[in-house]
Amino acid sequence: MILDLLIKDFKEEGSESTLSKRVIKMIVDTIIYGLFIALETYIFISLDRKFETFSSNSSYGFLVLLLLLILVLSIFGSLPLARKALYKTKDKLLLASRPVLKDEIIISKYLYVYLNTVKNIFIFSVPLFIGFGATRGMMVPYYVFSLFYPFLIGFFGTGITFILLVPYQKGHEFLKSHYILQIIASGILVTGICLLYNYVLDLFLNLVMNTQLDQMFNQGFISFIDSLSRNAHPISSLLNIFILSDNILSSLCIFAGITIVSIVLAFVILNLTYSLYLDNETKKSIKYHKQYKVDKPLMALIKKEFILIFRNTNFLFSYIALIIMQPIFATTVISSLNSLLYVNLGMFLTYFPELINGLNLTLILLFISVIASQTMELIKNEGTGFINMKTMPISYSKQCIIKIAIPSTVSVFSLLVTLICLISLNQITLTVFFIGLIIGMIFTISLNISGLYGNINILKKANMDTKSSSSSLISLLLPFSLAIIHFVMTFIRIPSWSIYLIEISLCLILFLYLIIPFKKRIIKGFLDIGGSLI
Amino acid sequence: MEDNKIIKIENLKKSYGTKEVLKGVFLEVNQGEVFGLLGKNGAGKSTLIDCMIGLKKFNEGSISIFDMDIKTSGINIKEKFGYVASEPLTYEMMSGKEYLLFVASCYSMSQEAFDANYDFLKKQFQIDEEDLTRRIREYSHGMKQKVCLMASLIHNPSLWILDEPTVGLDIMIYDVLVNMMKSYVKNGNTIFVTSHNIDLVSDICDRVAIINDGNIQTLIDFNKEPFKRKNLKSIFFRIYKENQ
Repeated sequence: MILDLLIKDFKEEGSESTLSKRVIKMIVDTIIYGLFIALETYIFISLDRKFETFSSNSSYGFLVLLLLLILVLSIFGSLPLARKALYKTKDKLLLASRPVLKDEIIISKYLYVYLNTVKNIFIFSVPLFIGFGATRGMMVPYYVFSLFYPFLIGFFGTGITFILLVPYQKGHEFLKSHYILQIIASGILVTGICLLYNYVLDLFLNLVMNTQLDQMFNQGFISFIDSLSRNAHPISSLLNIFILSDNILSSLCIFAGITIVSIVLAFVILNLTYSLYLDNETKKSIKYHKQYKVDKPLMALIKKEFILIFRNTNFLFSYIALIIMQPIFATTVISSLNSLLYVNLGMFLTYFPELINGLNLTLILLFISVIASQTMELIKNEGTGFINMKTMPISYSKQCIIKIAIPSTVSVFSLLVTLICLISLNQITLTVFFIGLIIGMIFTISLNISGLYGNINILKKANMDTKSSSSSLISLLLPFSLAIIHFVMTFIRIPSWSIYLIEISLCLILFLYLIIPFKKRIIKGFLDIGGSLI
Repeated sequence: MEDNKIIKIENLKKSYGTKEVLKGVFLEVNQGEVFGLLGKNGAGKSTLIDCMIGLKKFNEGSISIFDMDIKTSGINIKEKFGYVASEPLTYEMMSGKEYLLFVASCYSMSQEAFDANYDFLKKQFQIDEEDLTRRIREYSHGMKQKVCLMASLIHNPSLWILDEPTVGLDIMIYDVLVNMMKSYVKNGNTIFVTSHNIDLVSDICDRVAIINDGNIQTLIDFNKEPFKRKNLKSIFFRIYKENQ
């Protein structure tokens, strides 16, 4: 039965998409994981060599540090998964009416989170072990241990995940009923990710250019690493047993003790949560006490669009936080890249005079396209309220223009702030500023129009649950296509002004291609969709 | 007599691919009456309403409401009717009051008219002001349907179109709905209601059409044949048995 429950949880994970979409997702995930592992291993091996020059002990401490980081990240990464698995009322109601023991459900939930934690730790820790072992000529048992490491440490990681689950759920509920705090929290989180990204990018660039490493490897950092390698239990104790073969019995006791305590605590919390908390489930309601007044139809539609975007928790991280953080994120990446480009790619400027401008433009457009693509499923966002679009006495095309205008305006405003940040920090030229703004604007509106068309086509054939897989692809294709055109034209020495003129013209052609049949397509599409989208 | 017709449907045909759902429907609804459309599941009731109010296009025939063609004057017609679907279809991220205001704004209502209607409907459907400030997502099914019923009447329509309005309603709200329908037509307004709830139809309708296999099988006028009100169930089953 436990196995059946486990299979059910895993099946539910991918139940929303078709086989082809799951295959595409798997390929994309593999590429992203592959690139991440390559970067991680490169940084690790490069830093490992540097550490060796300072102190051989520290390179081992550095391995412990990275393993600890992986463990912490996998614990926090598993929290949303554990919450989803445990606090699902529908799931609980379905199981409560079946002859399934509560213990079996709890064990299956634990195993579900455990297997996901193991997967995450496995993906990121095994390459590190291999990198560490390969440079030191380790024997076969070491590599066997490295394969078992995620399974052993996974018990502890899962235990901590469930211990943290209750405060996490409380925080989640609190934020859910305080919308402004939700935006602030997501902003802080995205800022944190930006800073982390910036740190890793700088580290990578410093390794490539071999600069500023002495500042990093100061005595304080080395001492910290050394101390960490001895005290980061249960990782240190586990590595003591299998790598250092030092104090095996005491290390085994420490590892087993910590792991068992975490598992027991996790099961106690799981039991209590499943029995008590879910039985007394109450939802905090959000109330809107404000001045209610009747608006003009146009204003009512604008307000509705803002509500659909800004009150949708799905958009919180995928759109709202990114829109807010885009200026910081884009400035960080472009300034880091520019510092690398100016030093190392100077000779290429002979062949590609517009290389740096082109790269900056591509990155700016890539950011805005990816962010703008998050709001492409415009009709689907209407949810069950779609019937209102069809029955209210306002033309479909007018409603759709408002529908496109609101997310486009928000995205373009964020783009403008980004460009102002970049130009005030001398990271881009005035040409890139204006061309970026014009093309970014055209891209944003075009993406939203094509999203609308795509959404209508899908909804005509299927139902609300069908997802458009093309949206993210288009948002990547547009900037990259333009980048290729840009580099080809600069290589064949077309004057700069002509390059930008051609690029703007091409974007305008795409825009006109989308906008000319707008009214006709909208009316036909709306009538084909029908009344209810449940 | 001709001027009295609010809805005129002539030879309406609608297919989904090769499947013909409406096979030439003729129907007329008079002003000030409650007109019921009865039929089993899949008989074509909802499709007929969808075509009537411009939610779906149709293959052949014509529909005119308030002497305006639905194909050419859709926007003008939409201003004059209120529609309730069988499922509560709303913007769940809005509060009840926000949703009602949104609907009122789309119909260009004045603040005074909204306030008056809002207070009246709130009282009729027995909803607290406090409840209407909560997100619709948090409402029960019945509460959502109440808000949808309110939204369909907030702009003072002279035609009320209800598609299976009693699905999922508890007995209290059902009672409120029936009373609302009765008082609505007293003011000279018109109701077009589809249902498979024979009790509701026989209780409140002036005329009833029974639809089967994409055609109107029979049209009963309770004002002319009042005894058929009690026999509606047997008439309904007889029609379906004959066709089987």
